[in-house]
Amino acid sequence: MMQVSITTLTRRRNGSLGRKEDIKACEVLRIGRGADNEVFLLDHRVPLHFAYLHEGEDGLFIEANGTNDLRLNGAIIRKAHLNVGDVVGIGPYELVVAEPDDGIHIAVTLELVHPISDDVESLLSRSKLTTTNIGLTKRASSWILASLTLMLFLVLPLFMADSPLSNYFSASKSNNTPNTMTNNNDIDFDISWVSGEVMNSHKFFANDCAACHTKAFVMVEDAACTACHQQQHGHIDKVKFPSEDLTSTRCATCHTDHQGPHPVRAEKQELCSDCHKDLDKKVDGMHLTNVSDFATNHPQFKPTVWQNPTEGIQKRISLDDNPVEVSNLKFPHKTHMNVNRMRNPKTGTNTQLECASCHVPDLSGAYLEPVKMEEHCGDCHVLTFDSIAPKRTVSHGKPEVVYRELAEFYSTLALKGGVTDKTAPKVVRRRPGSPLLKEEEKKAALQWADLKTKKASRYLFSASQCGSCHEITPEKKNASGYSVKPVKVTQIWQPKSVFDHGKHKDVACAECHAADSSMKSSDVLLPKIEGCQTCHGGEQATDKIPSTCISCHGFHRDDVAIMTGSTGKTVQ
Amino acid sequence: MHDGFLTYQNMKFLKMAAVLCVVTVIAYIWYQPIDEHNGGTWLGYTLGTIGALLIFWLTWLGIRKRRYGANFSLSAWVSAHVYLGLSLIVIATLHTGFQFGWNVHTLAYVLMMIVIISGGFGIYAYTRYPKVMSENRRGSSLDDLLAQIGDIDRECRQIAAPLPDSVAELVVQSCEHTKIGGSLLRILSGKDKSCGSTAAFERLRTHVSEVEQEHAQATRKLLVLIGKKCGLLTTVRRDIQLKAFMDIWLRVHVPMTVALLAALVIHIFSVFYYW
Repeated sequence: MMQVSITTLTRRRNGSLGRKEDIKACEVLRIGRGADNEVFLLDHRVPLHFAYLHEGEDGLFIEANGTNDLRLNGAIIRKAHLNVGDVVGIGPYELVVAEPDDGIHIAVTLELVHPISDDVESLLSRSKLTTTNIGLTKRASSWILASLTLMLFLVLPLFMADSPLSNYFSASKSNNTPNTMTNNNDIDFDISWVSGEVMNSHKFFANDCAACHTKAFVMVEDAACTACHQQQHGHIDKVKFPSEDLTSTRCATCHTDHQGPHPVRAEKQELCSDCHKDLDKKVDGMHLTNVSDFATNHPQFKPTVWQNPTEGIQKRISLDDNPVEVSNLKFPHKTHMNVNRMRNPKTGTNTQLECASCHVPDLSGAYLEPVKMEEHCGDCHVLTFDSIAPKRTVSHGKPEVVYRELAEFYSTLALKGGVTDKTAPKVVRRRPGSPLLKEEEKKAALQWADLKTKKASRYLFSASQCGSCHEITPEKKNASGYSVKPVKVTQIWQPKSVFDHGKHKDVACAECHAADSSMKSSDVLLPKIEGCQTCHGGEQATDKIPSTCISCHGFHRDDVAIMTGSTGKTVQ
Repeated sequence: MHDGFLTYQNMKFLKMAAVLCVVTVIAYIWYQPIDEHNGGTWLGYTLGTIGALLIFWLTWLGIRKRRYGANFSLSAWVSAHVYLGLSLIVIATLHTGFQFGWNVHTLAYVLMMIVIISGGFGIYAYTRYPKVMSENRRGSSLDDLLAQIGDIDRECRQIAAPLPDSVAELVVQSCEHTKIGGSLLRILSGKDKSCGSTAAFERLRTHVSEVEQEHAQATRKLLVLIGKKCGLLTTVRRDIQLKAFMDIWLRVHVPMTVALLAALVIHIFSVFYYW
């Protein structure tokens, strides 16, 4: 254990020197910034453990710790012997070896010769080391941002825009001034509240929020819709079926807006099937069949077919029950589609008739125009009646009209004369244009005309002529002596759904309509639901065309009263 | 440990947030709205309510966790703040139904994302930068480094005293035209293109071969010293840059949070005002 005297010198401002002596007993004198050193130098420029000073056999010895450098009398060293008077530089300190007193092994004096210089001060005065005082404080920028947001997006829209703020306290705008929307479509501050693009058909008043949002904090009411949509029909007779589900449903339940430009048609089948899947349980004596999905739970098609055209009776019969239509028309599709049986009346060559030869799409393309006798049948089924006038035809009309035309034709001919038929009386074979002077002559001529008229009538109303298509019955009270049963051919077999032939035009007609094997017009040439289901699946179908209820059916029915909206009920 | 909050209680809040996100995603996939996914369906309202409550609660947590000394675990609050805050990315995004526009609703969403991203940067900064900073300073403190720079300046002045003006001038440039930090961007860049010391060093390096023989050694010594000073300056600048990074995110996070609260209140108000 050696005794070490450490004298710390302090230079005071007045130039005098302060001394403070400290005696320590240790094996090795450790020097450094750390508090565990015997020589403890509180200056950040001094490493934690700087050097070790100890007394060896050959005198005093100093050794730097690690990679630290020592300055011994100005020279950089790592370790060295020390003699009295040697000056060791330790960072900003100087350690001088002094002559030890008695009982003391080592004596050193320490002095801070390089206090932290003014260079640091001036460097710091030019510098800015933290961001703390740069720009706005967190508090200030918070206030500014929040105030800006509130001002731009709350105060201005609420008080400066034409919002329903006033309506909130007074009556609904639409009740007072319906259809004002077209007059007020200027962009206002509440544009920032628009949650999404409105559908295209609503864009002409899209900037007038209050057109639909008539009352603050109240969901858009039906009255706002019916203010414009004044001719929209309801779904059911709400007096007969006061269904909670329907009376409490708003227009906007299905017709959501602010979802983009596409026209809104809520296509989810659950909107329908929620009620229709168990309609029999919901309504007593319900005649409609339950339905929930086109692929898995949909009844067989039930076309509306004629049962008695004379009395105007139609009936819905399921295709599973082989419906027979009574149209009073005889028309074998099969015969007309047989190339060997059809001959072009002009060229005399065999001709293949197409479906489109008779069935022509209407302007919408969805449905087909009715077949007309004159246009589609008349080229072959020519209504001629006498070889003396081979091009003369009668109209395709009622028997009385046909009979009158025949009578007029033959009377005129008889009175005019010039008939070439050898079997005709002389009076009608006379030189054409020469006058009939005697009453007997006139009588004889008209008698001939009457005979010819009856003959032609018999010919026309025979089984080979009109009777080939029509049901002809003798009727004595008619001048013609015949009556033709009225013909009713169903134009739309399924009036409660929409079938668009135009969308199916790439499918051959025969894929669905088995016309080429039908010999009777009573055949209902409508495909069963299974035919549709080969391509169309239910809403969730992944391997077929997903088809929901409104792919074919509509919600708003023209046979139901117009909706009003103010009471949420339809007008009865 | 700076990242103790990340692993707090075996990541209890991470698991909680993960469950919340998974449930939300499943609900989003399962639920088929009448029209499009949007904030106005019942799932939209549910997610919106959860999201809004989370935002209000997390903001309160942010205030609460800074009140030291109260009877709570700081790690727990921070952990909840971080993980539940991150779960808002999923909840709020699905609440929107991916419908964005130039409106106050998307503004609230964007502000929320800025808050979350800045918070995410804060997590990164707090877990990584303390280590980077001590590695950068190699055990010294910032004051140590500044003092060393001061010492070099003083030593340079002493050495430069007998040297020609052309050299002394460069020493003055190094000593008196060097600054650290300054503007926000300069602090954050961690560099200083107009640094007096760097300029002096470059000029001295080309000049060192031109000085007279008797001054050559002293000039070379100056070059070494100023070179060392440039190294120290780089370290100091990197140090205050990292410190600024650790500070700056909060200056985005906090004001944006307050703006978000305002936008959120307006969002909720406006969608029900025009219901």
